[in-house]
Amino acid sequence: MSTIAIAGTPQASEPPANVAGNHPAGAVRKCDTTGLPVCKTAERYVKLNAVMAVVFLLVGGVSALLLGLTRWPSVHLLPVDWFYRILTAHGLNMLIFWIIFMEVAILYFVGTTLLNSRLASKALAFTSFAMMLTGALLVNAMVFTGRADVMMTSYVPLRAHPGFYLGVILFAVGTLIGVINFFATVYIAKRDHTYEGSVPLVAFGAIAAAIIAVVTLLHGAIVMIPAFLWSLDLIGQPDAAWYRLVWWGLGHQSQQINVAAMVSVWYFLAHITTGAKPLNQAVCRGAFVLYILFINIASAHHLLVDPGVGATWKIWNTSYAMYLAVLASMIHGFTVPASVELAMRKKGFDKGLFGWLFAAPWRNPGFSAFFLSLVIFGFLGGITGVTLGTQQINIIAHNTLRIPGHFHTTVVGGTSLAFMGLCYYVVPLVFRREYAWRGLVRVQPYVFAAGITLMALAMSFAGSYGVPRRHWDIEFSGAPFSPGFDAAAHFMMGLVGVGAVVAFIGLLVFILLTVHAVFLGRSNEGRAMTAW
Amino acid sequence: MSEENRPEENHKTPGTLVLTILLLLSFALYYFANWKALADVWHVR
Amino acid sequence: MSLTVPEKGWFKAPTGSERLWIGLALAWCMVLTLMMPFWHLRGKQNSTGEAYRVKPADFAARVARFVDANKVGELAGITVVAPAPGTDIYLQAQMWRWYPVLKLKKDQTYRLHVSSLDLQHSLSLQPMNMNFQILPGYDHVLTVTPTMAGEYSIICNEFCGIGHHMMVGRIIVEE
Ligand code: HEM
Ligand SMILES: [Cu+2]
Ligand SMILES: [Cu+2]
Repeated sequence: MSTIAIAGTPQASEPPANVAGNHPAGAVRKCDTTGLPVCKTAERYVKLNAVMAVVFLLVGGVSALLLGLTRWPSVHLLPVDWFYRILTAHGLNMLIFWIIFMEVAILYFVGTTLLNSRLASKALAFTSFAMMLTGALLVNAMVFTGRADVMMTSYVPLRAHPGFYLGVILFAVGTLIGVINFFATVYIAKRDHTYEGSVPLVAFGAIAAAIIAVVTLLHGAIVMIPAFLWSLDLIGQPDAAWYRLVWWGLGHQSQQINVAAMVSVWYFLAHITTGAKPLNQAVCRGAFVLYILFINIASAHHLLVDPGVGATWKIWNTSYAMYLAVLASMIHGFTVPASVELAMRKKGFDKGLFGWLFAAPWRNPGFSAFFLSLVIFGFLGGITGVTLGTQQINIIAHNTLRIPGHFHTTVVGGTSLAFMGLCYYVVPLVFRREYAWRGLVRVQPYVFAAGITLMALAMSFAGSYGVPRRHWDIEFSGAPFSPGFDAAAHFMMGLVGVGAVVAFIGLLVFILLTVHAVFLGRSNEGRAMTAW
Repeated sequence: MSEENRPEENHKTPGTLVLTILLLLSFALYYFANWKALADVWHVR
Repeated sequence: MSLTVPEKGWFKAPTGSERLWIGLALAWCMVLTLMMPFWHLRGKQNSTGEAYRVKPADFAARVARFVDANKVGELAGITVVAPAPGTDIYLQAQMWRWYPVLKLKKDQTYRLHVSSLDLQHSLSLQPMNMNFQILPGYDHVLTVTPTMAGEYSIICNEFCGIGHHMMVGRIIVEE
């Protein structure tokens, strides 16, 4: 990659940007590979948050294996109480702790390096990190000691130990503080004029994610604080329908943070692996704005077969809110591969329709993770999500395995895989350590993608036979009647197990190689990272 | 610098267009197959 | 490019295949939007969310009255009721059973009231695979017309505690 100038060409109307940034003396280093400025305080917290993300990914990953082996009918590993306990742990450690620690790391990196700024506050970064970590540990302590067998949704009147709600609140407030620190950084960068004109596209995407995060976390506070007080018997039980409405204001929108963050990572990886640049920045940015504007009430699609909310409300909120966000994703789904196509064609891979695609750097794990993530998210996650979220179609999908089948192709095959690809650059560039066993690294994205895709497809098929999610035994032992699912459904559940095992292997390879690189990897300080 | 950011005059991306149209077709197929499946179940309001 | 600031004048209209795609995507989103009101008016399967507030104890009392008036037998230890077509019928969800067993007539319409006495549950009719959320405090009214005869199971597909997988009920539809 060529060296990157941070400031634009000075424009007549504006004073030139402060190319040196606003860093105190000695608090910045220049990246040996890209020439980008790296704020040392931010770097420390990028590392801390990223390491914790991977730790919780491991907890969630071991849980995933146990779940997969329990839902595989001929294995049926866990006893009933531990199945639900581990399911609760998996949802929280993956969807909340792994993803959000990683996102805070991304925000700190983007806010400082891409905007050429120092991190606004070291104290806030520390407070945020400490609260998030305490919260996550508290939640895990409660779950693993059996005091919170309530699933990550903790739908009232299910009731957990107060420590569980407290942990979630601590984590959420900690995240909010991290996001505020990010906005403060964006503010001082603007104030100190460390860059020229508009912010870079990746930073724009990150800002979009952060704005959605604030709205999300406020919903989290509105719903978790009454639940916490109720668990202490200080107030009466919150209404079940009200709880679901506000909880999904948290639960759904946090998925939009993930999408916005993932798309930003796509732009980042597309650029760094192939030199791609967007065809039209106005289009890309406009699509991010659609995310911010239209996502907040799309959480309605979790309540499509609920009592108490009417058809008009359901249809209205699904259509205008969701489909303009869908439009945004469809736009990114074009602009991202188009930018790669253009870059590859310019390099001379101009043969036929797909010559550029075959010539792409498939051996580079940053590229393969990004492109597989794009394909899985678009072809599987997007299509299933919009269909299942259609008001009436939800009748034949709600709470069946079609739902986990869908979101394991969005937040896992999409977001998590993209974040893995990101790590293949973050570790050499920020930790300044090289990955070992590079052949293994090159196949990791393929293994993980294959496992998750198999599992998710099998879940979707099983779900269309009616197999429920969050369910320990589809033989219904001890029940007065047996629904007796189709043999094909049982076969699909076997494939769920196989896919889960393959995905787990992919996940474990990622974690082991990354932990090895971070702690024992060859240092590359003083020179460029070894190209993939 | 401006070399990097110069607006692309002639950006032809036919491969991507084919891929996305493929996406649209699979989308439509899956979407309407689901309406069909819905039409086959009991009536409910 | 995506990591540095864009050049002045980046704000411009899309062209070429990018523009074509945006148009196609927008048109598709319109189709998605219009399908729902269309089905609401013309389709036979809709979740209108009709519901009334009800105290669990009051709902249980209504179920008991309904069962007394219509019971016709017993199946696997659970009372079977055969209500008249066109009437209001009741189904009670609680940890971990569906009560009572309903015997219905094909192609007849019923107003099915479902509520929970304790936690959240979810009604999943198999092998039809129709699913509705059931909440305590809400009398969820489903105006259903069974269009096929046979024996159907109702499973619970919202986690409701350790016996969740045992919560299976039955609806029998006769010609
Ligand atoms: C090796 C990779 C993974 C495997 C094999 C796996 C497998 C599973 C399985 C078998 C279930 C249970 C489905 C059910 O019975 O209802 C599940 C649930 C879930 N998974 Fe994963 N998963 C993986 C990674 C992830 C990741 C990375 C995330 C999030 C970023 C995630 C988020 C979830 C969520 C939110 C649930 C639902 C929990 C609930 O119902 O409360 N999974 N997963
Ligand atoms: Cu239940
Ligand atoms: Cu249940």
